[in-house]
Amino acid sequence: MGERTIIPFGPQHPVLPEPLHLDLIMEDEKVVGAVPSIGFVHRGLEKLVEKRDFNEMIYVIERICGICSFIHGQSYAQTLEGMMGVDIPPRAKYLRTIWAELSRVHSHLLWLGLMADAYGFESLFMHCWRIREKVLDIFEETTGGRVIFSVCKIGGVWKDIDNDTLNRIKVIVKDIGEEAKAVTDVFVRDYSVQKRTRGIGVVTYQEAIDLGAVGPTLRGSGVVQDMRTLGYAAYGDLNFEPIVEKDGDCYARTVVRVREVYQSLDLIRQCIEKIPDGEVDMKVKGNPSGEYISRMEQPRGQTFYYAKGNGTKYLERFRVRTPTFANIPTLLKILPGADLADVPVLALTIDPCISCTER
Amino acid sequence: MTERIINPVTAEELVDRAKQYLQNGHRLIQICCTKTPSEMYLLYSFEKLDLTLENLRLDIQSGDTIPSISDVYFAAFLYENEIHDLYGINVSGMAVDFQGTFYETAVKQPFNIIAADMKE
Repeated sequence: MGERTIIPFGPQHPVLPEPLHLDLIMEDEKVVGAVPSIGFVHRGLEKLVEKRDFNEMIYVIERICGICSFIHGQSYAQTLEGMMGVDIPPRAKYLRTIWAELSRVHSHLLWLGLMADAYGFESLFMHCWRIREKVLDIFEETTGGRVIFSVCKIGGVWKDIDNDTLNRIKVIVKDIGEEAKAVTDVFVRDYSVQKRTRGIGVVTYQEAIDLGAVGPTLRGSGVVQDMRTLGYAAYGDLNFEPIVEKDGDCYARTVVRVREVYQSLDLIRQCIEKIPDGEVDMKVKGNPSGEYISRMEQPRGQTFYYAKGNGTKYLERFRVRTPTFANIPTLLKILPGADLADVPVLALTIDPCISCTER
Repeated sequence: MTERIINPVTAEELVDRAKQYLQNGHRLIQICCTKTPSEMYLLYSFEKLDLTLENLRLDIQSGDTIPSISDVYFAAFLYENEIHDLYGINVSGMAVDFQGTFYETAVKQPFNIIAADMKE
């Protein structure tokens, strides 16, 4: 046995856009153990429900994360709507689904860029983010924001998208798919990329289940689970199957996200073709009472929402379990046995969002 | 909460109930604590791959010590450390015990304090 040393990884590290710390226990160049530290920027946003009107709280919830901000707002709205027995207009459900899937596309393209950056493929990183800009342009045109949209409300959405604009978005989405093909082919087929991802950080089917993994981290190990199959928003009207890969390594998790980009683009197309005319919001009367649980699929995986109301304008409890929090045990599983040089790739492979985790 | 089941559990039964869920093919998907002016409880959520969801509710009081289920579900240690740091609930036998340093908060046990607005 070699001499053991501890190498601190993060919280400030070139590969980490947000503060996550790992104490890597090393024997020579091999990792034999890892102890995580989070909590550097914990904000306690859940606690604010005791002081903010439940309608205003949605703007706080959107700020849990700058990548899946819309889906956080949507999840909160759906939880409160479920608690209050509100069934929003069908057009609002479709609009929410379109914005949610656009969020997934831009999140996955962002991650693919960061992953390319992690193994030093700078031009690939830039191309991923260049294509992602077109998604952000759609957000800006339809909501007025590129990061925080404030378009979701309890009872529907604040803004409609006219049918001419939707048809134009359908063309843009098709173009994004064609343009992304040249970039995503590199992740799937390039020899040097596969050298850094194939056989690295393997999580078996059973391990992924036992460790509580979610999202592409779970589906990359062959587990068929996607919260969208619950049929919330417009997903019940759309034709899709969970994307699954079986090898359980960094490559499999990458391919799941690549395929999900195209799946999301197809779901947006389906929504635009099926969206019904009508109202996009409804008046919601009264205050929330009782408790309600919602589960939804964010780009990084399942999110769990729990809310408890007491009939006043303030909730008594609001809880978010974000996907990154659920994927930390998987990260701890794949680090032992890895080379130090692979740690950045392994840390990124669960698509860590510390902003979500430090809600 | 239609289609969702919440079963009461005591601290003495907790670990055995968790083992039963594991044997029945459930995954642990979260543990959270709720404190209101009138009650305090933990909610343990278990899910099957077919997405059916069951929950255990454990009524507690501030400063209580409860057993860890991280020997049954390894991932539980994260939730248990979180609950300890935010609510001051002691958890015995955690697989990884951060000794109160999981969250670096300016105020100790910040979620153990109920906002004045809500008390009114």
